[in-house]
Amino acid sequence: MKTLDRKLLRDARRLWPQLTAVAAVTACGVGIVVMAWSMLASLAATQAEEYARSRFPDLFLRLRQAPDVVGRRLADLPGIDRVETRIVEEVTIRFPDAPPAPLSGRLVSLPAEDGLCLLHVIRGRMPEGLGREILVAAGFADAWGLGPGDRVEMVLSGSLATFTIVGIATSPEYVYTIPPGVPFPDDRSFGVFWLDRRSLAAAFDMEDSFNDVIATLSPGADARDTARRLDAELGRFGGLSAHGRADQSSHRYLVNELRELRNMGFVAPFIFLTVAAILMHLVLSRLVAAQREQVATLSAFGYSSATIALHFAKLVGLVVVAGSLLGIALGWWLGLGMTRMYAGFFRFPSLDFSLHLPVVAVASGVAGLAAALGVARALAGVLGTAPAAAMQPPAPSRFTPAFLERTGLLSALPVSARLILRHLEQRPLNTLLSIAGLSLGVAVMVLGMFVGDAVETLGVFQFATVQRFDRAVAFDDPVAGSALAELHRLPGVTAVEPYRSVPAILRHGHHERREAILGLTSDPGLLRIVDTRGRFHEPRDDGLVVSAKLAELLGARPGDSIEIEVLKLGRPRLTLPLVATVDDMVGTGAWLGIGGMNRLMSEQDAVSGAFLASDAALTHELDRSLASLPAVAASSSRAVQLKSFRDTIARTLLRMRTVNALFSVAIACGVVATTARQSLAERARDLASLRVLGYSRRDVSKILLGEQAVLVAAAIPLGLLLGAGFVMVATQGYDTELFRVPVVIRRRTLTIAALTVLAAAVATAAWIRRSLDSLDLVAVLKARD
Amino acid sequence: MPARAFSLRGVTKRYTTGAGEVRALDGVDLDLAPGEFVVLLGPSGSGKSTLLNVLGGLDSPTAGRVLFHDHDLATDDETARTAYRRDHVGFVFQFYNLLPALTALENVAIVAEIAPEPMPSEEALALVGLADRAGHFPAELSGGEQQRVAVARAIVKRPAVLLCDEPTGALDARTGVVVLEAIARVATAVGATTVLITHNACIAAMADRVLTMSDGRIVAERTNPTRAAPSSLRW
Repeated sequence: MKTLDRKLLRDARRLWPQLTAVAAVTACGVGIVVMAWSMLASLAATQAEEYARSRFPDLFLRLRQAPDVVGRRLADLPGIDRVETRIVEEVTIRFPDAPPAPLSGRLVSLPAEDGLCLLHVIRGRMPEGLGREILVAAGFADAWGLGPGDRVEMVLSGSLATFTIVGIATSPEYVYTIPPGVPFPDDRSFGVFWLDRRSLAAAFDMEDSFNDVIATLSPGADARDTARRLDAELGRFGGLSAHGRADQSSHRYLVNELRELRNMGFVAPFIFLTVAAILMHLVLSRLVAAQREQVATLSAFGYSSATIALHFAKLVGLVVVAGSLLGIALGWWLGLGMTRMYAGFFRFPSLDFSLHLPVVAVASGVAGLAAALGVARALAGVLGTAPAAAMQPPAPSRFTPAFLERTGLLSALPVSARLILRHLEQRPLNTLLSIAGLSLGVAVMVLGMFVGDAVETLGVFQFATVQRFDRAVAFDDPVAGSALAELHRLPGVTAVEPYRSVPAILRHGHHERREAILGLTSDPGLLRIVDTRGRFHEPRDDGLVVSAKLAELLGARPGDSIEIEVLKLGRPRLTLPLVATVDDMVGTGAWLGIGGMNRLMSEQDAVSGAFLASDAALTHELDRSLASLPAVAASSSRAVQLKSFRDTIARTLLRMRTVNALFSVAIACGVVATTARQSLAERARDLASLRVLGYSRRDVSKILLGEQAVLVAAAIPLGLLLGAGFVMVATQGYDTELFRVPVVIRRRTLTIAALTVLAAAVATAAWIRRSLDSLDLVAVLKARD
Repeated sequence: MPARAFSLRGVTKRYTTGAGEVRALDGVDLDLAPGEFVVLLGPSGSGKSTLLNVLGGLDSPTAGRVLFHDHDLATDDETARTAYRRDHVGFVFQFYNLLPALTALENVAIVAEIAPEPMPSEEALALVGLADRAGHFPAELSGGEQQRVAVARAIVKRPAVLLCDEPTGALDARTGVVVLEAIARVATAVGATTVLITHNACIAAMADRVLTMSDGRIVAERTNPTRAAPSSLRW
């Protein structure tokens, strides 16, 4: 081994605290990127593979009923590659452990063996023969602990039928299960089942006919044109207008969720990596600068600049490689854990996590580059000085009284305080670098924990401010408003507010969106229209009030006319003005006064359902009564929806938050430790001189730690501001149709961020204090490194 | 062997500082013979260290010629000066400048490794009487021992030029004499042209020639009829 390399190893051993901290920061930066980006790539790859394997359709169409002969002709339509007709029916479900309230569900005919939208049985088997064997969707099965052998009762066309579950399946159509009219996935209140087609047809009088069509497009075919052809063919059978994947609820949610994850999983980790890189840069450049005399000595003896640079590159390489390897291992381990969690959330047959090499390369590359630049900057400074000059100890800085002293404000300061102030002021670059490093530590903490605030704000907004009902009841078909009186009489009901929901295609210019327009009573109290500032908006009879996000998607502004194609037989087309937009947080709603809605639909007092407020003590009685009302197709509970929200979105986001927060704590502590340690290394000589001159250990610690305290005090407010900035950047892309994450940073987050850095500073101070106590005065004065 | 190791003509070095221009060297003319032992005397700021740095290729003059044998160091760039230092020059500094992470032997070896024809590092350490301290780190050595390691490090490459800047400045008289003995012995052993800066006029007795500098010029020059042995020096 070359002597220079031996020096390298010994230096590494001597500088281990700083180098370990730098390696840890590197590991965090690399780890979080490797985890998040690899996971995103894995999820996207899984989605693509599963869509291809299962032949996920391009077009979807619901209709009332059409004979199979019509279905067979569909395959000949231009643009259609494969087509499959199905029977899909909404049902009410009961099973022994089910709650008293009716659970709604969907019964779908099993796909043909080489058909579209193929299922994947993850447990049990496919139903055999005709009759009473069904498959259940994995989400619902998990939510209620159902499995092969369990029995489920369903009300089919008014009569009760019992089925035996023989298998649990996933379908690309239900990666997410979103009940109709609900903004979030909900595996608890809504279940999907598959039954053989002949039994399903027999139960619903659908022999030799179908009510649902799915199709794939031939290569190059235009989706809209083909959808129009399907509509033309099936319109007279009650076809509800064919739609593409973009309007398929699971796909739409999945795409938005992936986008959401990408924003969170891309921007935040990138900020982490950048911060880690900046920190490495700062620490390493100071570390190399501190070796000024050694560099000069080597240079004096004829070592070329390149050899010296290579020597330090090796030292840094050691740190970067160790940190990157650790980061990759950490990222892989965490990615695996996160993927396991997502596997319970995204209902794919399997979700494999794999390390994506480009991601690993980019993350390690950024870390390496930052380190290399840090070293290069410091070496350029040292090598740029002639060796003779570099070998002299740096000329004493020209110290003057500090600014605060000059202003006369602090004339009576003790010497130690003056030393602190002067030192900070006379080495502005080092002071700034230290403050910058520490503030970055605070800032990443804010960024790491912000997601929790966002979820909490979102949850409170949706489930306390917007949704105020205890039960939402949906009828099979619209009923007369007089039926509400019956709901009023149910046990425990304290308020009833009707709604009328109408599925429609909204068009403006060349934009179109499929939405359910919700007709609400004036001054609604149980489902309110609220904007992010907490202002309430009333639905209007003379025009549409829409979510600002929907207006954006339609490219429309208040005053514009919106064309509405109602998705019911005859497909009436109407035009309504857009009268107001509401800057809300969840979904893409469109609202109308219920009177206006009835006029629009040429109905008299028709309602689709109602929101109920009830006495909590009588919930069970209410649910039992609701279950006995034949007109009620489904009833959902705000509490269950809130639980679903907590179990799904909140859980994934919060898990991500925890990981981010842990990384940010590690980074913050790393920064504090390296900054303080480096200050000690740079000032050891001065401090030893002070000790020789008769200063006590306490005095000397006061100087160094006092300096650190000033730096931390300056860095914390700056870091909080910077953290808010990071949050703004990271949430730029959080604006999707599903929800808009509000930039609300809670005081708790700011406090924890500040306290963590403070605690790290105190812990480091104790450690530094110990080093100061064992300062070898003679050695420090003799050795000049 | 040419008659002159160094030939300096009109060597000038100017620095600009906040207080104005400083002439550290002001037209120095000097010839040094191969193997000659020269002591440089003069007050602080007289230009001794600057002259030494120019001779050692640590610094380049603002004007003038610095011929080392037939090669003009004044026109060299940093790469060429680095090569010159690596192949021909040994330095001994007042504050030793040992690498604290390396043992005594390794501090010598680090220079031996890049020199074209070095002597074994152990031999260099033995020449300064420190064979038994080879495995010790600088922090475990006394000041005099550290300086002797620095001397061993300087001569391990068998340099043509040995430049010593106040080698005894940080040492007491007894230790200083030991270091000077080491320098004299190894300089003779490798036949190096040696220039030694000192504030201590007594040390001048061990030189072939004594130059005195003031204000960037050589203001006096004398030749000793015989070189005194370092052990005979007292201060």
